[in-house]
Order: sequence, then C-alpha cells, then structure tokens
Amino acid sequence: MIQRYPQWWIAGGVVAAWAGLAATTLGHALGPVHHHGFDPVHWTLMCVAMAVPPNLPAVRHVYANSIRVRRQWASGVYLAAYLAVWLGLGGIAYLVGLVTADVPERTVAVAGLGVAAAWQVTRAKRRAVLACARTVPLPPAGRRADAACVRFGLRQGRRCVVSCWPLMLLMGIVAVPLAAMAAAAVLMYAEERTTAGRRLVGSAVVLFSAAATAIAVFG
Amino acid sequence: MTSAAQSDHYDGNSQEDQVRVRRDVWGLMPGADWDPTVLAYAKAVQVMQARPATDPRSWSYQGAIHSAFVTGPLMNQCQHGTWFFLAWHRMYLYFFERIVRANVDAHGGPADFALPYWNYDQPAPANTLPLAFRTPALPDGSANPLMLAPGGRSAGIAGGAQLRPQDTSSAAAMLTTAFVGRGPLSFGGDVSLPVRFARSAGQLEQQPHNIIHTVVGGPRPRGATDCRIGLMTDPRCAALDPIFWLHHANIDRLWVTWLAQGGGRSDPTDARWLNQRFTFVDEHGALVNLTVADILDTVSQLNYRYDDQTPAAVTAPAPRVMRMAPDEELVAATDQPVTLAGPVTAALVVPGSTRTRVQRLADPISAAYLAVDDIEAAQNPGVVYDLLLNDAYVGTFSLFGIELMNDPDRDHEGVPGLRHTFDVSAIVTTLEADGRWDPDELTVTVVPVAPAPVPGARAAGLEELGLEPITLGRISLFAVESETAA
Ligand SMILES: [Cu+2]
Repeated sequence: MIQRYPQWWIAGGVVAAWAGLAATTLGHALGPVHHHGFDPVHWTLMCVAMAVPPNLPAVRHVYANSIRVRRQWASGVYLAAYLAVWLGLGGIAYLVGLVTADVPERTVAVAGLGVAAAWQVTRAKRRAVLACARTVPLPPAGRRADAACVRFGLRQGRRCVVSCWPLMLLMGIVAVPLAAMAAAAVLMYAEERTTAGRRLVGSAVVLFSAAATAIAVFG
Repeated sequence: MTSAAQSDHYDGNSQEDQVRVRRDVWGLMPGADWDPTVLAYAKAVQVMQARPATDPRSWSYQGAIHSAFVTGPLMNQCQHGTWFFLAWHRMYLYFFERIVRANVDAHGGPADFALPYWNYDQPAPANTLPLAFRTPALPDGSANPLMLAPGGRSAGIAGGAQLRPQDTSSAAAMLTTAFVGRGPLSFGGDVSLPVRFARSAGQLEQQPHNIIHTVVGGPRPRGATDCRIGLMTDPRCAALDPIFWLHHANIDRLWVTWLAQGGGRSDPTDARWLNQRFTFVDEHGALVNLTVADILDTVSQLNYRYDDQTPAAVTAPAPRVMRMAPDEELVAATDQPVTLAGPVTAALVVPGSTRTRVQRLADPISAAYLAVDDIEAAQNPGVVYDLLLNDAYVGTFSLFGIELMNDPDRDHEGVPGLRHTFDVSAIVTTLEADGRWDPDELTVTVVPVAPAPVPGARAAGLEELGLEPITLGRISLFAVESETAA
C-alpha cells in the first residue's frame, strides 16, 4: 500500500487540514459574532486541503523521477516550493481583507464570485489548466536536483494560482461553510484531473453566477 | 452533414461482398508503367483537390481532420502520443478510403480498389519513395497530384534516395508484447488521461511512424504557417501529402502483424479504450461515429485486409523490460539540459547510491531503459536524432508533433513533454561483455542525422543546414526489477 501510494504522508496532511477546517468552521458557527478577514492559519489549512490534492500527480512525477534515496526528500522539496507560492497569495488575501474590512461580507462574496465567474472564461485560466502536465528536467543528485525540484514546485504553484486565485482569495477572507469549501475543492480537482472537469471550466461560470445571485438575493 | 449513422452500418457487408485487399505499392507498380489502382488513387486525389475547401470530402478538409492551422468542425482531431493513436488513424484511413473509392467507382474502377500501402522496411527500391510519387505527369498528360512541388518533401527522398534501415525499422515495436501499460515500453501508447506526466508514445508510433514523417518531409522554414515546404514534418500539413495515407496504411498493417505474432500480444480490453468514440465523415458527407471496439477486426468489421500480414520473424530475445514489474528506478541521468545543433556527448551521472544497481544492470534479472524527457524545440527541425549509449546505437527519435505540444491553446490532453523511451537491456549486456560498462564512464550521444542527399549529389553537412538547436531536458537511465527477483 505504502509502496503504491508513497505520498501517504501528504495524504495524511490533507486529511488533517480538512479536519482543521471542519473544526474552525464549526467553531465559527457556534461563536457569537463573526468578522470576515484574513486568518493565516485558516489560509494555510485551505491551501493544504484544497490546492494539494489536484497536484498529487506532480508529486508522484517527482518521486518516480528521483533516485530511490532522494524520493521522499525530493517530493517534500517540491511540495514546499509549491505551497510557498500559495502562501504568497495569502499576503495578497491579507491586503484584500484589510481593504474590504468595512464592506459587508455579503457584498464581498457577491463581488468575489463575480470575479471568479469572469476569470473562468479568460485565456489565462484556460492556458493554466492546459499546462498542468508541463515538467522541469530533474537532475539525479546534488544541489542541482534540489534546485530543479524548487523550480518545478514554483512553476506548478504559479500555474495553479493563476488558475484558481479568485475563488481561493474569496474563501480566504470570507467565512464559507465547509460544504462550499468542499464543493470548491472538488471543482478545482475536476478541472485539472478529469476530462469532464476540463469541459466544466466554462460551465463553472454559471455555477458561480448562480451562487452570487443566491447570496445577493437571499443573503 | 446531418445525421450520424449507426456504426454498425459499417459492418462491411452493406456495400461489398468481397474483402478488399490493400496491396504493397511497390508490388503494384515496380516500374514506370502506371498501375490501375495507383492511377485511380491519383485521379481521385485530383477530384478531391478540385472540391471546395468547405466540402468535408475535399482534400484540404480531409487533411484538416488530422490537424491544420485553422479550426473548424471535425478538424484537429488527430490522436498522437496516446493509446488511441492506432485506432483513430485506422478509422481516419477507413473513411478516407471510402471517399477515394467513391471517386474511383464513379470513374470506372478498378472494382477492387483499396488504398495501397508503402512498406519501406525492405531493400531498395522499396525503401525509396514509390515511383508514382515522383513522376510529373499522369498518362493523360495532366499534372500528377502524387508528386509535390519542389520542397514539398525532403529533396533527397523526392529524388529517390534510400531511407536508412534505422529509420524504417519496426523491430523495437514488434518486440513489445503489451499494447499498453506495464512500464513505458508499450506497443500502442500510454493510457490517455487528462493529466499524465511524462507520457510515452507507443513504440510503433515512435519508430518508424514519427521518423518516417520527418525524414520524408525534411526541414520546414522557421515558423512556417503554410503547407508548401516539408509537409510530412508538421502534423498540420502531413495529411496533405498523398504519401501520408500510404505511410499510415503501413502503420495500420504493422498493428495487424504485431497481433499475428502471438506470444500474448493483444488489444486492450479496457472499456475506456473500447468505448471511446470518434466522429468522421463518409463518402456521402454524412457524419459517422465509431467506437474503438467497432474497428478491431479489419476483415469482419471493415472489410479489408493486407496482402502481407505475415508476422515478422522474431530473432531477437523478447525484451526484458516488458517482463518486469512496473517498479522502476532512476539510476543515472544527465545533470544539465543538453542543447544541440550537432552531435553531442554528455555524461550520465551515477549517484553513489545507485552504483551497484548500475553495475548489476547487465544481469538477466535486471532490465533497463533510456528515456529522453522535457524536450524543447520551437518546431520539428526536420531531421531525426540517433541516440547512442557508450557509443552503441540505441535508437532513433524524431520531434514530430512538437508544434502541437508547444501550443498553449491546444488541448492535447496535457501532453507537453512527451517521453521517448528505448529498451537498452540487451545493449547493456553487450557493453558489459565488451568491458565497456563502467558506472564512472557512462555517456549518451545524440547525433542529428542530415537528410539523405539526392542520389549522386554531394551530402550536405549538418553545418550547412543551419539547424535550429533543440534542448533535451534530461536523458536518464532507469532500472527495472525482475518480478521473480527477491
Ligand atoms: Cu502520422
């Protein structure tokens, strides 16, 4: 099992991140008042829970293209670089959170979904999805090998951020029910990893617009 | 183009009573005298070329179904680098043949017309461009559409130069025993998934298919977006060269002969493969849908066979990689990308931890393959590349199709960076026996092969070609463990 799924520790991290998200969402639901805004812990959990699963094939690629003694290490270096890009987006989420601090949460949600819907039909979005199997040559050992893992992680991270930033940014500053986060994660995964999902890239516009309308109308 | 016909409409018994035979073009027409079948093909090409480009049965539209610089319904469908390569091209050829045959029938036969094939993997003259494709005029004095204007094909090939045996050989493909899966050395290509990192094309697609495309087409002008020079070299132009169809008929024939070899060789039974549907246009201009399961038996389902389907005599031992567990391990690789416009030799770096593994590779319980990954080139340079391991010839590869993989707006199922793979188990054993297998001195050499000159003319050196450099991101050596080994 472990041999077939050598990235079990990553899968464990993803599960733990979802558990963490579930706990905080539940906490919010029970708490008296909720202010939207950026929370670095919440953001980190989101990145691990939602951005890592679609990228597991890339981790596997690093694993399979490393010498045996480097496999886990190389996977880790790759993943660290990949997540670093996402955590960098967290800085922007923080700023957006500051700027929109006085805007009603509902307005932020509607606007965010509008941006996400518009982004779905851009050429940049489409290209980012199409480029997801682009690789970087991985030397066999030494500093060059580590540098290549970092470069590959940064490149994949940037590509993935370009693909999914509006939705992630929105979920980073607005309290979102766990079910909505799960739906977003499924969508992100499907777009990258399934044939049907590839065709959904355009249809998601309808989905996001409908969600925005629902929030605008029913709050 | 209205109704989609049922696929079982094409069960072969609806139109004809006898099985059509696709024949070797050099057998049909060994000399300058026009053979009726080849002549009928040429005349049908004339008719198709005269049709408006909007007619799906026109020459240009048929070519665009494969790939083109424009987009439109049914266009740009070609399947390369996946396990659908053989099946898709069989359907493509089948409907093209029906369109051609409708013209042949309308012009008086021959009644048993079938598309000829070009089996280039034979001694001269069969390894030279068929004569009908280098004769300027048809018997009636009209221009021969089978011969392209100068530049349409590599000058040497157009002038009758012989193809190298390395370029025409299907030996590596014929030795494979699995159509798909079980490591990187499959006959028919990797499973087509939306995302598949470092996917390998099938061995038959790699050699001879891709190589023939490039050596027949030759170099194309940098950034060319039309189809006047080097047609076969670029998938967006390839099917506009009438020789394309004879080349692919031969590839299709090789699929039949591979199966006929037995030894466990069989088509995939995976439903994702069998049920994959593709759409084409028939001779009436109607849309037709076929699944892969509809075309696996050429005789009973498509009503044709080849005059020569005898399996190649397998003389070499069965490839070791195929008998191994899919657990494979990187043991050596180049540690920097290699950029080349001429021959280049690079060291394969063997890390300390894999040294013993590399030393043991000559052992029969181990197998090994070389992979060329992360290839970057603005376009197919129109030459092929020989790959050597410690100066021993490993195989030849071509960058056919890289333009499509480079295109950031084309959904080629995430293919960019196709992996080329070569079984080197037997070569390692030979090197070891010769005392040339030392982990401290492993090298790979890549040699661009200058196009064959026109017979009698002086061969142009590589420098004179002004080749655009290409970059090979990594060349790596993988060890595969035997299933039975402890
Ligand atoms: Cu082809």
